[in-house]
Formats: sequence, structure tokens, C-alpha cells
Amino acid sequence: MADLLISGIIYGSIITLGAIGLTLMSDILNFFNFAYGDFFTLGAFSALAVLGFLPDMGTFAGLSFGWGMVIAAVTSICVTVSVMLFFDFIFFKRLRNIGVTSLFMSLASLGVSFIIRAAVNIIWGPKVRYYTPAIQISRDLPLGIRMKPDELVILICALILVVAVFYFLKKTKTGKAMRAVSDNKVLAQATGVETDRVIMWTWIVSGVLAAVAGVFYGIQVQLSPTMGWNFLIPLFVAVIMGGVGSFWGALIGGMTIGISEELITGLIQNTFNAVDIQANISVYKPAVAFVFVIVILLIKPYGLLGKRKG
Amino acid sequence: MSILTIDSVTAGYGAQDVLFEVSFHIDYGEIVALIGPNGAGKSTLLKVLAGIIRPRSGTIVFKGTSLVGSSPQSITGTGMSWVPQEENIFSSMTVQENLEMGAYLLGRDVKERIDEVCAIFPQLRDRMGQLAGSLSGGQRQMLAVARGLMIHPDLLLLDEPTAGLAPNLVQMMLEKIKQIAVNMGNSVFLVTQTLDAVRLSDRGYLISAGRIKYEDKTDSFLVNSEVRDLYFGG
Repeated sequence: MADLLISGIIYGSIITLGAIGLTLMSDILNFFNFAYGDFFTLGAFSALAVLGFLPDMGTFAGLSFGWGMVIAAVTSICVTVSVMLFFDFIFFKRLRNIGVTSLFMSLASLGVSFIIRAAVNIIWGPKVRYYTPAIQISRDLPLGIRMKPDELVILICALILVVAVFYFLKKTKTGKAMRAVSDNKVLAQATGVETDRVIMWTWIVSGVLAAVAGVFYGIQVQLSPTMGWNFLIPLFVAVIMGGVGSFWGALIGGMTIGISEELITGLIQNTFNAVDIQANISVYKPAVAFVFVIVILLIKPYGLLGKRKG
Repeated sequence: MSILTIDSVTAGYGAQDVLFEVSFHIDYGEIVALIGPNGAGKSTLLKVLAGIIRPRSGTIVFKGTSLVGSSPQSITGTGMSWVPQEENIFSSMTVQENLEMGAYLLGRDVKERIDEVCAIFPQLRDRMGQLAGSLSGGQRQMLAVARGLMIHPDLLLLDEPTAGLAPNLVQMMLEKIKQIAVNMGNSVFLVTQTLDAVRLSDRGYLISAGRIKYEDKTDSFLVNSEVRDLYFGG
């Protein structure tokens, strides 16, 4: 049970990073970006590519990665953000300027997602990959908790990143402008906010979060060209559950989905194993997410912390 | 001397024109009221001035510079501040953050500016950390006007600032608007539906069906038969 909870918290922290990026993007750019999951994939594979070029730089004590992964992660952030801004410049910005609806923007993002996934498939092939072949053993922590050192680092880094994004949105002039555009775009323009600049920063913040979440997922699980596409389901559910545009909603939604998916499927799997029923319950994880979102939306149609706009 | 002159402005939404060859002017330090029935084009005119809607034709000259084709950001930067009738605050942000957003183009001396604005609306001072969306209707209007004042505008565009307020708050808000114009030297263009708001103005314009029908100094304006017939029901 404790192991499942820990696993859920780690998975939830990765979902939370992506959900915060997706909720910002959905709210400020006013469309659901179906390519977001593939930017997550791009982040993970960019880091893999950099690791392939770097000499062996060793690992940090107790961890499966070292300075090489730090360099790879930073490079992957730069690559992911650059590709996002490139697609915005050649594609989404033009669509915005001709005034297409949110629905068409979302459909267009679906096209971008196919392009990125196909590119990843062409470059790296369809097979599953790992950053390192080394197997990590869980270690005992106080209170009977067992955790891999990598997981602890992922959790701490995710927490630092969430706090950093929160302070960026809360304390900086650019962050406040992003919140203002999210709240009331016309009024924000009338106070002098340049919406193009805000949109650029939204891509940047979302890109950083997508890349880091992708790298963390690669460290924790594995890499595959469809990892981001599959990851979209818990991301969307977390965003919708928390309320589109809500930072805290994305946090609560991400952690709830991560923990409940791991706990519920894990407990059912354990029960089946105990009575000797052969079944792979983990494939039903998305079902848990969907049940959650249906229940939440029936009770709170705009999500837990979302507000009706207009 | 005019701070704002608009001449033969035609504007609207989509293919539909709402304003037809509207012309008027506002002098430095003047409070000018614009009245008219619902759907006359009052709010649309303010949106055109604020750069939210681009005019199809005509000229808008503010402090000697043409504003036609300018973005809302650059219009605000020239010293014109718009306070819409609805959705005029950032409801998910605190009172202080709303005021800071009002000073977005100011860049410096924001704290001093907040102090100055709070001297006009002292009720806001104790609510700096409160979410704007949780304020009462009167407090929201105060915050909206205060936000509009943050950049120390030369011309303040107020869209029905007393709409929906209790009678005692209407009087208080009108006194504040007078105070803003007299003490701070701002010109004010006031879209209104109330007689009291017209009375505190220097001049009034009557708009109906997207056309300016009548203009005069307040005393004459209020007794004009066209104004009484069209707006006050004779």
C-alpha cells in the first residue's frame, strides 16, 4: 500500500508538471493543445539524444544519472521551447491572426502532434528506450517508506519547479500579465499588456514544464514515441478536474489522478494476484482517470477550482 | 483647447455599423457626459476610443496625435484610460494586483501611485490582499476607476460607473469623479444614464441610433427639448 502511494505521488508529481503547463496554455491561448503530450515526448527524446553525444560523465552517488543528465535536461528544455515557439510562429500565430475558433485551433494542434510523433518515430524508431540500463533498488526511509533515490530527486525537483512557476506567476510582472490575460484579455490589453508577449511566455513556461516532465517520466518509466500521446489522458483529466486555468486545480488534479491511478489499479491487481486471477490491471489506469473526471464534472461542471468565464 | 477630437467616425461589429459619422471633442480638464438610450452606441464609442474596435472611417486625434489603427496598448500609453461597464476588474487577482496591472505601463513609482489612488478611494486601502472577485458591487466600481487612474491618464473614459450601485454609492462615486477631474486635472468622458452624472459635467452629448443628436453646456443641455423627448421622456 505504502509503495503504491509513493509510486502514485511520483507519477502524480510528473502529471502535475504537465498539467500546470497545459492548463496555462489552454486558458491563455484558449484552446486545448493536443500536441502538448508530444512536446513532452520531444523533451524526453531530446535528452536521450544529448546523452548519446556526451561522454560518460558518471552518476551522482546513489542515483542512476549524473551531470550528463543535467546537461541533457537543460538542452531538452531549450529544444522543446524552441520547437514550440517555431510551431507557434509558423502555424498557431497565423491561425490566431485570422481569427479561427478554439475548436479549429485544437484540431490544428492534432496535426502538429502527428508531425512531432512521426519525427520522433523516424529519428529514434518505435522501440522502447531507457536513459540507463542500470536497475535501481528501493531504499528504506523513515516511517517504513521505501523509495528509489531517483524518485526522491524527481519529487524534490518537481516540487521546486512547481514553487518556481507559482512565484513566477504571482510575483513577476510577466507572470501577473499572464494571469491578467487569463482573467480578462480585453481589460489586460487596455491596461497595456502586449498579448503576443504573454503568449510567447506561455509557450516558454509550458515548454519548460513539458520537457522536464518528459525527462522525469523517461527516468522513472521508459521512453517511447507514444509516451506523450498516452500521457495526454491523465493530463487532460487533471486539467479538467482542477478547472481550466487554475494553477492549484492542476496541482490537485495531477496529484489526485496520479495517486488514484496507481492506488486503485495496484490494489485491484494485488487482489487479483491473491486469488490467482491472471490479468494486467495497469492497462485500465485511464479508466480510473475518466471515472474521476465524470464524477467531478457532474458535481462541479467547471472543475474543482475552475470558474465560468464570460 | 481640445485634448480629444473625433471626426466623422463610423464603426461597428462585423458587417453591422453601430456608429455613423460621430463627431465630438473634449477639452483639457473637462468632464463631458454622453447619454443615450440602450443600444445607442455609447459603449461602442468608448471601445473605439480605447482601440478595442477599429473605426471603419473617420479620424481620432488625441493630444495632437492620430489614434486610428493604434493598438489598445499604445492608446493607453498615450494617456487615455478606459474603464468598461462590465468585467472591469481582474476578479481572480487581488486588489493590489489589479492596481499594479493598472500601472503596467508605468514601470516605476507604482507604490506611490497606489497611495495616491487610495487617497481618493480609502476603502481600497484595507482590502489590498483581498481577491477583487470577492468585493461588493460598489467596491468593484471603485477598484475599476482606481485601476483606470493608476497611469495618471490625461483622459479617463468611464462607462456607466454608477450602474447598479445603491443611491448613496452613486452620489459618492460622482463626487469622486468630480474630485478626479478638479484635483488631478484629468479630463473625463462619462457615459451615463443618470441625471446626476450629467449635472456634474461641463457639457453633454446626446447619442441616439449611433448618431450624435445634440450637444451643449450642461445647463442648456438638461432643458433642451430634444434631450427631454428622446432621453427623459418629455
